[in-house]
Order: sequence, then structure tokens, then C-alpha cells
Amino acid sequence: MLRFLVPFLIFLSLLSSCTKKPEVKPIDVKTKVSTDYSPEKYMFVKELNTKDRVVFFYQDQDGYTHYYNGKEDRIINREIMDKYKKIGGVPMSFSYAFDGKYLYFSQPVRWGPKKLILIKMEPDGKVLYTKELSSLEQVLRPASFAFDGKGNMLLSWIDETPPYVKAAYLLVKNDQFPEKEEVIGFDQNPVLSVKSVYTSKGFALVYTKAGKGGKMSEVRVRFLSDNSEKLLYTGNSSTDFDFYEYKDGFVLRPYELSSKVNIIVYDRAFEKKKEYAIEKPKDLVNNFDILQVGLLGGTPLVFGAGIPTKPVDVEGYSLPQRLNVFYSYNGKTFERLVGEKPFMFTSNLTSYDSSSEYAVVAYMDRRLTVPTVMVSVIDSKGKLLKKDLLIEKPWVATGSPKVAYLGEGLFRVFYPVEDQKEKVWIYRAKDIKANSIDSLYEMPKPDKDLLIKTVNRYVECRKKNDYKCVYSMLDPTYRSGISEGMHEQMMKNINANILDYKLEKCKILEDSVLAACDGYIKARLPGQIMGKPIREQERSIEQKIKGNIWVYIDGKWYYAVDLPMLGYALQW
Amino acid sequence: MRANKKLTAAVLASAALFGANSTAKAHANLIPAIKVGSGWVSVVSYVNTQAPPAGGQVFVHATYQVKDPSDLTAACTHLDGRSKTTQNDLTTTVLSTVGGGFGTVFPSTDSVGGALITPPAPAPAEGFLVLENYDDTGAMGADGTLTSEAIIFNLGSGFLYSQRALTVTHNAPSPGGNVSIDAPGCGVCNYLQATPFSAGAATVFDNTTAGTLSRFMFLPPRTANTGAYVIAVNLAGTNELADDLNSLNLVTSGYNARIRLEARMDAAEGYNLGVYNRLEDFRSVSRTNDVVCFAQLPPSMMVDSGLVTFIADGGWYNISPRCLENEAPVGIQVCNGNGAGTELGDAIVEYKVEFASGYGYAVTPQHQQWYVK
Repeated sequence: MLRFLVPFLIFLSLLSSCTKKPEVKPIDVKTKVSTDYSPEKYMFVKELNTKDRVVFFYQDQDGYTHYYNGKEDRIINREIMDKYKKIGGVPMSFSYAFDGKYLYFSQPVRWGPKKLILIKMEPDGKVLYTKELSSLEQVLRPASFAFDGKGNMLLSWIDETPPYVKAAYLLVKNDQFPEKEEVIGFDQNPVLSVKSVYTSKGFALVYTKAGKGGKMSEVRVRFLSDNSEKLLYTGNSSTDFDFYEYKDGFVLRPYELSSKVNIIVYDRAFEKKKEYAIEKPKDLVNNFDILQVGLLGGTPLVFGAGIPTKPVDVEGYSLPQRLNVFYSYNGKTFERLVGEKPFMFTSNLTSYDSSSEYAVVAYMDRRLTVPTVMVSVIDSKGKLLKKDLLIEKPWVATGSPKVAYLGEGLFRVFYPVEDQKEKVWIYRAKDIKANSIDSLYEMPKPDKDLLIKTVNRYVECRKKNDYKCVYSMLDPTYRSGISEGMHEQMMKNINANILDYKLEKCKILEDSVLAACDGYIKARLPGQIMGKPIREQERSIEQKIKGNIWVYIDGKWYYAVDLPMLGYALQW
Repeated sequence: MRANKKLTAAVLASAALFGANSTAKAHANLIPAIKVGSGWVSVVSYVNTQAPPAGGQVFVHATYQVKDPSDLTAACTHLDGRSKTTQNDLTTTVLSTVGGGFGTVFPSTDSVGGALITPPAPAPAEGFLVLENYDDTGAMGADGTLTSEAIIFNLGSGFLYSQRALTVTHNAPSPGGNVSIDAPGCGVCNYLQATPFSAGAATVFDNTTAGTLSRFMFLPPRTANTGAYVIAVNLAGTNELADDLNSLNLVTSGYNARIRLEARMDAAEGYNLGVYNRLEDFRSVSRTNDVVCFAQLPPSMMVDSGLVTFIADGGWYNISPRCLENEAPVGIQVCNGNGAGTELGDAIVEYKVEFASGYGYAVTPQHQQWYVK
């Protein structure tokens, strides 16, 4: 007996270890930022994050920027913001850089004119100085930084002081600021994007010279050591670019309305080393955007998102396709990064980082209807090893994730999470091993029996015109926008007598959180609707119903409310 | 050269013909979005104030253009028919059954103020409805003699919405007539054109001209779903050697006007592709949307998914339509004039459609077109 029992117990133990979800202890930083306010205004300071320390900036609803140094939360711009808030100032986008020793934080503030605030800090958050920069008065962007490692830095930004949009820059030598910034600008060609870089020829600026009136746009580099220029790219619509710096040089991806994604790899002197023209997915050409460009093992890794314009048949129902994340490695064709039935649910907004062996990609996925943080793992040869790993508990509201490689095979996934009890945002870090990570949570399996029970109950409630009951079973997004009283009034305005209502043959679509039911409705309209008399022969209505959509959220099924001219209130 | 002369003569003859027609224009009604079947019912009311000719009759003619609105580049399925009406007749009719066919548009038993039409399958039938009035001598109803509106509701969910028709131009009674959206300044025809507005002049629209673009503002994507409902409109060029082959006539069979929508920045940024946040900063984008007949553009197509942080508080851009050109270079071009390589002012009827936590469903016209009298 024991001969069989022992192996059986070993088998059971193995089985349980296989199905057990990995436990990853989150590092949570609780804030006082209300959930009414966007949590997206944060910057993850990759350079200072370690296994034991989470470091990031975030902006609160009062316009102050906080720096969390791994132990404590400090407001770094209270004084300067108070000064500007008194005259109606509001903070704009922010940026940061780390020169290996100090942190630099920049943010324009707008009160009519716009000035650039620059703060130099110790990594612990101690502010060394705060500067109000720019003799021009319309700073639009936070600074782009470059350092030479000898105490000098180049700051550049975009300014829109009339008569044209231009790049402005300051070369700061050992904290000595020139009196006035220099500009790159053209009367007929707005400069819409600029990036500071340190090249083998010294400091330089990569910028766009946008075409106007149908003229071609250019991406150029200006070397500040001798003011020489080099044309990097010419195109119809290349008014901006993605830029990625690596040890031996730079990667440029000019924005372009084209069927191809152009990627150019340069050395540190901006000599072209390699060029890629990657075909966009054929059915997505005009509906495809690049999200991020980088390198993995020295070759380009590119992420994009696109949405097909044709609906798709899902188990006999025509559903609109959704935006999906794609990736391309080493110039190869784009492939979908997400799994399951990707066309059914939206995935977007990618962040990734790589070690020498793996790239970990984080994205927001709506297959649970609420945007959920998921990751995929790509190996150093560009093969998609794992996909759709659930990093946060299903149906917890989150913000956009960032990924950083911490060393020793460990990747950090960082994102905001709603504290539903206290209605504030928490910033959460979870550290995962790329080689062994699995979903941290089970993907929920919707319950078909519950679906049928729920649908039947809904039908009964609707037949009885039970407003309260009907409303309680409509999807949460709809209910967040239309109050019970408003919905009751709409139903009273229709005032139909539902004589028969059947929703049958309900099936869960592709094992997802969506289900579709078919059925029949027979109703008698009132003698008038909203004051408009209805002719007797038009009062009786009989219709077949096809593809009535239900959605499973946190253990319950809901009627997904369809709206004229928009589609469903709840977008998945 | 001879061929060209012949062609020019033909074009001139055609222009003369159209010119003659243009003196006989009147207003029709466009109800932009109806929905019928699978629980949806549309209740359409219309008023006719056109008097019949002596011993004659007045008709209301209805045309449906429907399709699956998530299929952005499919042409529409068409169905039309007419019913008798009388002067000052206010008629309310219920559209509740799809699957109508030719010849079944108006019940034969109708005399005055008949039921409109059974929209074509499949269910739900979604699309737009065009109503015209004219008499049995072929004279079109005078301006302002037809007004319509609709209540649309779902029997299953209990959701209800209503809308008023827009005014459009008809050149001749349907079937066989032509209903279009004209540029402004064309005498007795339609008063305004659809987006973009050309500052009251009968000019074309151009991606490099400030007055010709429509600003599309949107709420924070975290709290609001912002989509768009768009009807593509194709205008005839008056000096095109070969106009594009897509439908000019809103009531034609297989209506397939095509338009490309782009998100563009404003003058300071050279009207290049891009989007602004609430604080004047901008980012470039490189995605466009094509629409044939009409379409429902979901939030993920209107509010760029790669810019969630940048547009966390919402933002705006110019909706810029581009036109299909049939002369070299063939393809989608700036809609800034007649002739080769360019196309005269095709347009869109466009609504911003929002559903936001806290205040619900909102439909905002983006076009400059007038509502019916």
C-alpha cells in the first residue's frame, strides 16, 4: 500500500507546487493623493531604485511635487510653487535626470507666461538649489538633460514665445548658469522637439525642423562645440522622434505617417551604423502607432499599438476589435505581445527594461474590463517566452506601470494602485525574476451558472419594470455616469409594458469575462412617448435579440449597456 | 489635345447642368443616428408644412443608410421609400423592425402620415436617416417646410436618447435625386457646410488654414470614454477632370464617401500631426482613421493610447479631414481645392460622444451644420 501511497503523495505535492502562485511581497508607498486625481503624474527614478529601496517623484492634487527617497516623502518645490500659485501658477509636465551623483528635476510653471523651474538635489532629497530659468517667457516643456561627467550639463526645452516655436538651451558649466539661453528657431519651421545629448564630439542637440504648408520635415543634430549640423532624417511628418541612448551610441525613430517604421542606429559621433525599415502590420498601417523603442542585445526592440478597422466574429457574434500591443525585434515583422484572444480586449501603454538575458514588458490590459497591469517576458533572441502574467489582483484599479532592471535577474514593476477604502493612491513596487516569474494571481473563471441565474433575474426585473433591480444589474461604468433616478426616469419615459422577454443560449465568449445571449422581446408601447402619440398599429413590438452582452466583474455578471453613437459605456 | 478639349467641353456642359440644378435646391433632413432591432426602437416625428399643388399630393421620402458601425471602412446598405403627407401634418412613427426590402418601405395602406420605413437588416440597424419632402409634380418642398426629430431607446436596458435632425440640401426629388451637404454661400441651398467651417466663404478646407478645422477637446481618459460618431461627406469638385468615384449623394445606394481623419496641432506648430494637453504643451502622433459612409470611432482611436501620462488631465487637437483624390497623385490628399493632386472640400458630420463617470452621456456636435428649422 505504502508503495503506491508515497509516490502518490509526492505527485500531489509536486502538483501543488506547480499550481501554487509565486508570492511577491509588494513594497507600498501610501500617498495622500485622492483617487479623484490622476496618479499618472509620477516619475520612477530607475537609477536609484534597489532591491531595498523604491525611489520616485509624484505630483499631488495641490500641485506640489513629492520625492520619495526610499524612506521618507518630501515635498521639493513647496516654496517656489507657493510663490507661483499666488499669481495663479500651475505646474506643467516634469522631467528628471541623474548625473551619477545628483538629481535634477525640471518643470515649467504657467501663470500666463511660463518659466522653467530647475531643482538640484542630493539623492536623499535634500534640495541644493532651485532656479527659475528662461529669459523667454513661454517655456512649454521640461528640460532634456545631458552630462559630460565633468560637472557640466546641457539643458534644452521647447519655447513658444512668438513669433515661432523654438528650441532653447543652456550649457551649464559647474553650476554656473549663463545669463541667457541660446535658441534654435526658424521663421517658417517650428522646432517641435529637442533632446540634449553628449556625443564623442561633445554636447549636441537633436531637434526637429517641422515642415509647414506641406513642406518636408527634418530631424537634425547640432554639435555645440563648432555649431556644425547634420541632417539625420527627412520625412513628410517627422515632427517628433523617439530617442534611445545606449553605451555605444543612439537609436532614432522619427515619427512618420508611413507603412514602415524607420529606425536608425548611430555611434556616439552620429555616424550611421545600421538602419531598419520595419513593415507595420498590413491591416493596421494607418492605425498603428509606435509606443517605445529601445535595444535588446544590441538590436532594436520596438513596441507599437494598433487597432484593426474591421469587426471580428467571436463565436458567431460580430464584435469590434480592440487596440493591441505589438512588438518587433531586430527589424522583423511585428507580432502581438499579448495572448488569449487579443482582438477582444484592449492592451496598451508599454514600459520595458532589459538585462543581457531578458526584456520584461509591462502593459495595461482590459481583459478584465478594468485596466490591469500585466507583463510579458522576451528572451535575448527576441522570443516571447511568457505573456499575460497578472501582476495585480483582478479588478483592482491601477495606473500605468514602469519596469526597471535592478540587477541579478530581478526586475521591478512599479505602478499606482487605488486604496479603495481610503480613496487615495498607493504607489506599489513588485520585484520579479524574469526566468521564473509566473502570474501572481489566477485569471478569474467566470461562472456560467451564475450568468444564467443573473440573466434570468434581470429578465424578470425588466418585465416587472422594477427600476431599482434593473439599475443594480447594469454595468458599473454606466452606473458611475447615470444615477438610479436618471435611469428610472428614462424607463418611465419609455413606459413600455414588457409582455415577454427572453434571453437564452447565453454563452461565455472565448473563456473571457464577456458573455452573449440571444432572445426575444415583446412589448406594448404606451399611447404616447414623451408627449408623442403612438399609433395603435405601431404599439406592439416584437424583436429578436442577438448578442446581448454581459460582463463579469469581481464575482458578478452585469448587463453591458450599449449607447447610441458610442458603443458600450464600459469599454474593454 | 483633342480628347482634352472634348473632356473640357463635357465638364463645362456638366457644370452648366449642375449650375441649372443649383437654382432648384431645397432642404432635406438628416437624422444622424437611428438604431432599430435587438431591443432598440426609434420613434421618428416629422412636420411637413409644404402645401400640395392643386389637385396633387405631397410626399415625405425616407432613406436609410445602415451598417455595422465598428466596420469603419464598409459602405452602407441602403433602403428608401416614400409616404404621402399633408400640409401641417405632424406624424410620429415607430421604427421597430429591421429586415425591410425594396417595395416594403411604406405600408401600402398608408394614406396620410404613414409609417416611415422598415430599415434593412441586420439587427440592430444603425445608421442615418434622410427625409425629403416634395410633391407629385416633382417640386421640392420649400426651405423650412420639413422638420424631424427622433427618440431612440432600448427596451432591454431602458436607455433613452433623443436628437433633432440637421438640414441638408436636395437638388431633385428622390429616388433619382441628390441630397448633399453644400459649401456655404451657394445662394438658396444649404446654409452651412459640415466640419470644417470655412468662415462663411464658399472656400475649401485645408490643413494649413486656421478657420477650417474643428477642435476636438477631451476629458481625462481615466474618467471618461470619448469617442466620435462620424458621417463622411463627399463633395463634387467643380473643376475636377475626374472626381473621386465615391458617393456624392447621401441617399444613393451603397453610400461610400470616404474620409481620413487626422489629429493636427494648430498654427504655431504648422498644423502638423499632434495633440495638446490642458497646459498648451503638445506631442506628435502618427496615427489616422479612415471612415467610409459613417462610423463609430471608439475612445482608443480618438484619444491616443501612447500618451496616457501626457494627457492625464485631458487635452485637444484639431480634427482634420483629408479627401480621396482621383487625379494624380491618386489617394488621400489635402482637401484644399479643385484640380489635379488636390480635392475640393469633402467633409464630415461629426459628434463627440462621451460617457464620463459623474455626469454620464454627452453628445456634442463638432460640425458647423445647422439644425432643421
